[in-house]
Amino acid sequence: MVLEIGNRYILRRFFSGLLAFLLSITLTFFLLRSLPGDYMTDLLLEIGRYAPPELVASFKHEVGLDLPLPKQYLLYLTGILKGNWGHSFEYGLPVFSLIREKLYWTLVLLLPSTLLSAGLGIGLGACSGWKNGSKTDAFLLHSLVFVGAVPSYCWGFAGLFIFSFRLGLLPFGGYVSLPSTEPAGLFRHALLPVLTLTLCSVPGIYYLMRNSMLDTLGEDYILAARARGFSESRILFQHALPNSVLPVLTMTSLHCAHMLAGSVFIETVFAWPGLGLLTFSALEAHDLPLLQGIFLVDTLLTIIANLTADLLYPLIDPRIRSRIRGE
Amino acid sequence: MLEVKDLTVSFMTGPSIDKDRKQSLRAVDRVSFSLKKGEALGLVGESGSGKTSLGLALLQLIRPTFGSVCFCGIELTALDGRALREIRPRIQPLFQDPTSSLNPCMRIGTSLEEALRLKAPLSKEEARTDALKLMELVELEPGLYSRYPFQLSGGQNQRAALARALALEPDLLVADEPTSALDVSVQAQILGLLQKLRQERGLTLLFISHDLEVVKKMCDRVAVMHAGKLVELGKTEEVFKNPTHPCTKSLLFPDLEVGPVPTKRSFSKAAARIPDEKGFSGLAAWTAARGKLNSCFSGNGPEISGFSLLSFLKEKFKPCKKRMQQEPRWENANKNEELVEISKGHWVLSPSSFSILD
Amino acid sequence: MELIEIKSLKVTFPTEAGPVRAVDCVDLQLGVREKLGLIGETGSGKSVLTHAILRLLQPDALCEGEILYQGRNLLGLAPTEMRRLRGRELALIPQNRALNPLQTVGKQLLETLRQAGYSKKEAAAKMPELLRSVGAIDPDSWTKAYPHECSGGMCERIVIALSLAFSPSLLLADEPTKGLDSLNRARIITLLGAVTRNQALLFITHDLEAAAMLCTRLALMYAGELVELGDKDTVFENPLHPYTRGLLFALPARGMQPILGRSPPLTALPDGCRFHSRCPGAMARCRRQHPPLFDTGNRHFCRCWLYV
Ligand code: SF4
Repeated sequence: MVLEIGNRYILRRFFSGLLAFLLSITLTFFLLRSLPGDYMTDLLLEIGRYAPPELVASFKHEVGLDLPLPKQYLLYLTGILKGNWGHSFEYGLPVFSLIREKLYWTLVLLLPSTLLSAGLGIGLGACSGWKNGSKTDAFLLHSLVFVGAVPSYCWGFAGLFIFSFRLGLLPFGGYVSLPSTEPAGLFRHALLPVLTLTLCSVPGIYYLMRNSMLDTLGEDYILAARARGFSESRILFQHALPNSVLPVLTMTSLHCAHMLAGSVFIETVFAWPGLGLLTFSALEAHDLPLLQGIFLVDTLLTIIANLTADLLYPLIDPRIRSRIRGE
Repeated sequence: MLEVKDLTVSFMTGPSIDKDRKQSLRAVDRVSFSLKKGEALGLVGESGSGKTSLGLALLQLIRPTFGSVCFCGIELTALDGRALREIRPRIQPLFQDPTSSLNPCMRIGTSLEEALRLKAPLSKEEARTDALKLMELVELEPGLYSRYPFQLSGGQNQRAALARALALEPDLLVADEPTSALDVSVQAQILGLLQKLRQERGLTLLFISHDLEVVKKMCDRVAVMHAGKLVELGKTEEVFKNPTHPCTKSLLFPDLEVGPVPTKRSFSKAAARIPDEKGFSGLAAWTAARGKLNSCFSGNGPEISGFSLLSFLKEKFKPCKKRMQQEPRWENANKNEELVEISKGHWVLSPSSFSILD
Repeated sequence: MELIEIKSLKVTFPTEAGPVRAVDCVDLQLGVREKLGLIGETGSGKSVLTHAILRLLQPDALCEGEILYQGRNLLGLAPTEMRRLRGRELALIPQNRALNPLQTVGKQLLETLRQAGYSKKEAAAKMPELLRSVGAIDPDSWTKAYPHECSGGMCERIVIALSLAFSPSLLLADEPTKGLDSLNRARIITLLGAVTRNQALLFITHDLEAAAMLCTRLALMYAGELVELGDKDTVFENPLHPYTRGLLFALPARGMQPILGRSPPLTALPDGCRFHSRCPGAMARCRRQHPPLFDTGNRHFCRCWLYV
């Protein structure tokens, strides 16, 4: 039954995702082209030289930047489809493999911290809302306001200071030399950044969950369940929690995408070789192909996160399910 | 003033448990009627009979799929954008839930002033005095001017909503169950106010309700809807005295307590006879059921098990559709879709072969 | 013996503007299998009263007085004991047809039946029977439905079925006919009458006609207190309290004469009789002195100085 409703819905969602993707890469393509300055000029100026126009022009010719815009755009699109995302100016490497490697490291941070923050936020929020007015609630609320108010990198520094500098328990940052996938080392290195990232996104999810829980608890069916003599835990887990988690779902998926951008700070603090740092250096260097590639991946991840939420929603909520069927 | 012809509204619906997957539902099905200036027309029907959709379609808040709504000589369904916006103030709605029809972040006074300014550019002072005048008109204390909707009771909010509608000096007020969320005594207040306004301002009223008693009190004419169709239309007294279509009867049924349905005309005699033959025995059954019920409740009646009592009652409280299936002629009536005038101004949806019944 | 006996019950809520007494000195008895209609406007405290009986009020609400159920004071029971009573002995038909929107009707019924002590198998077998008893012709299609797929009348039936799962001795029905059309309203009333033949019923409503059809006794509440209490017929034929009269005359079928003004907010109750600002027969004394509940004989009580 679920699949039956799904097919067309999934297809439609998929296409709208695709459309959004196309629109956004088009936008970034033209936006990037309209940035002032270019790679060669910047490079030469940085070394302290005057940039001879012929040199700049010949560089532009070589990388195809002197072609008319529509043509460049077409080349870019066909390139993407063929899996050829161009070569980075700065690193001289294919963009695709460059990003793939950095993305791996970013996801090492992002996935655990998303799961962790969703779990923590939902758990704490539910607990707080359920025990509304109690000491636990007040404590959670106040401490999370505090956590949310401090910028993420401060937490990063604080963690580094305490655990690495003072206690010497964890490494100062950086990552295990690149090919290492030795789990223990990876864990020790990733622990602090993951925790810091989690810390920044928990408050948002927590507030939403707490409010949503409070709303749900005010509903008549919760009262009715109590009046039937159900145990409190049954009311919480069977009735209150599923209903109050719904609005949090979308939020969490958006948060995940948001963290991708927000991780720049964290990666800087912990010298983590992820996508955030790469973005930063690419921006600085006017490395057009690399920037395009990064934005493309960002867009893709955001759309995937949204798609996941869209597909999860009808699985949980029968009302959405029948609306979809009615469409 | 208002001419509605063959108005049809279709929706695509999701499945409900007794319907198939994905279908188009005709919420309003070729409804035609007209409304004179200053008249009050009651629109009654079971829930789900399409009365709310009809109201919204008149307001052009949902666009009809088909048919025409002609208001003071202007064809509303053909209007769009600006032209529609210009005509809208002249037809104002009054909704069921008063609290949610007012902007929760706006003070009552500000809401009224906003509406007043739509009509004519006013200075701050003028708008304020006009707003206060309106509040006086709907019997709201001036002290409520700077209150927010959540600080007011349901009745007061409904008054404010009414004042806001009146600010635009509408010709037609479409009131969709304006009192069903209110307490009895407040309901009486609001309805009394509506009646007063009708007399003073010559307001034309389309009154949508499922409470027949209220409609009986408020309206000159009633229109009965069933499954999107208009099944009976006539003067209020006439329809209440002489309900002809089975749907009307089934609506009146729970409220008919005393006195038999007068069967003056041979016509309605015929109509009343069919059900008798088919096992639906009219008022007598209801009274009997009532008696039985009463004695059951008080515990000195015949011992009937809950179940058999229920099935007995289910017979009696047949919803319209079932009752019509029991009466084949009426079922066909719906298919032939023709309103027949059975006495002056009393129209009933009936088969064209209706006259043969006599 | 009386099934439930409420003795000078007071319920107070702390608010920012100071304590608000939502229910004030209510005395009420309900016999076995008796059907009592509790009538009042929004905010008159009728829902608070029912929730107080079930002890479902928010934790900071203060309940004083006694609620004796078969001789036991409910207000003094331990929470676990109270939970055992809820559903089993005292069942609530909640307002607004409250069903969990994410679960099928069947699942919720099953859960409740399991709670009532049936095994999984028994519960599954009992479910269609239960649904049929509230008038479902095709119980299987009902169990598969989600609440949003059911009409108002259907939801009300399901909620009634849920509260009948335990066969309680007292049913508290909170506005079961609200928002239903006349046909469904009549059906729900008859259904309620039929299923509570062996149970006591506290029928909370502002629908006077529904109460008249279903109940043997009526209690009217105004601004947190009981103003009139009596047998249905006496109250309807010979209403004593001016408020009751006003309500009856406000019915469309009885003239639709509104009661002027509106009920006082609980935060600012007037001195003397709480109805005096709206009462056509108010006397000087009414403004000063708060009237007690007078016994006018014939099991008919009224809180009004006219009946000293
Ligand atoms: S006590 Fe006085 S004011 Fe109150 S109801 Fe009776 S007559 Fe009216």
